[in-house]
Amino acid sequence: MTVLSGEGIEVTLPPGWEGVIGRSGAVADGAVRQVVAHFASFPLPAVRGDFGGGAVEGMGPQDVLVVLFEFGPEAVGSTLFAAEGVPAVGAADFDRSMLQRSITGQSGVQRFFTTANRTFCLYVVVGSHLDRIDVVPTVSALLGSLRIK
Amino acid sequence: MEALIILEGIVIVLLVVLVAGLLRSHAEILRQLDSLGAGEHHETFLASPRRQSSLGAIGARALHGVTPLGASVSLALADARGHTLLAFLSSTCASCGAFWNGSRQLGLEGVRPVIVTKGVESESPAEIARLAGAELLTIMSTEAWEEFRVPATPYFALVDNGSGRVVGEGSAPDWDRVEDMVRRAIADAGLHRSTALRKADVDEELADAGFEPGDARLYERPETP
Repeated sequence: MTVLSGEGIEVTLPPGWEGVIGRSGAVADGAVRQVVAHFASFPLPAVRGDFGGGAVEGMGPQDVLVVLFEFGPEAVGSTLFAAEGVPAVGAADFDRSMLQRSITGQSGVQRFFTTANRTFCLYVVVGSHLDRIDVVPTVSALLGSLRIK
Repeated sequence: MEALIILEGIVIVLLVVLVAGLLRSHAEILRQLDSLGAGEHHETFLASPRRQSSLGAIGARALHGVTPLGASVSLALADARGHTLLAFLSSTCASCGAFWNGSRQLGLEGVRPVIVTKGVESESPAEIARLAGAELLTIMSTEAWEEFRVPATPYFALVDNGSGRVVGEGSAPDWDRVEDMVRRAIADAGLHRSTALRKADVDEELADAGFEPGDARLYERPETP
């Protein structure tokens, strides 16, 4: 198990998983950028979109991508982010139509929540909708280890 | 007169000691350069142990560090698939130019190149960001340099992400030569690939062909002529 922390987010990565916690965007142009975290059970590519574009295309059937995208302080208190705390995700929550980018075999789940006065979108993609039950326990363990300050 | 002769003798002895020391130092430098493959041929990418080699199992199961833009990163070096090619580079290393400026994706499927520089206490993040660009993952981590006992730059270590073992290491003058050496190291290691890893390869190839686990087509009786 590996503990990764940054930007007030701490997570325990399962064996073989990797992660990046930083700011959106690939250039240091001085603009204020949102916090984005990518946790994956497969090798993350260098160039990735905020919601996993560039990474999901290389996922195998047993792969999982977990994305945390932080919205600005203006979103605190809004209806969309009314849920408190890091949400749990079950096999029944995954939907093929929930993908940011539709890829055969994959499915995803998206949840919006508030914690520590910060608002996030949690987006999880599994490589195989049919076999998602195999990976959901690992996703649950990862989400259970998330600490956000 | 006698004093002058004695003084001259002392000076001669000191000069002899100085020259001997310089020759010894020169020989040591040449020997170390040769062992790193930084000599005339640049063909070293050792698949067998050398002094202080990091070949074999490494203590780290993951590579930790920060990107030049400040993101925290942890990359898996074990219990994962494929290979990671760690390219240890420095902003002050003259022979690293080919790797900074010529950075590109390797033409090797399943091999992820990662540039590793020393941490922010030794390197300027802005300078590393400028040199590295965005095409390759770049991690600043002095801890990684110590873990892999990096002797000089440029230096490369190829990690089998399944076993977490270093299966090749050494130096080379450009990406083309690195690619050749990586291909050789993987071919050598492939002779000892486990059944579980070969099974994972088959699963991946089936997935690429559009066959998910449980696909009914996998259980159809083949047509007979």
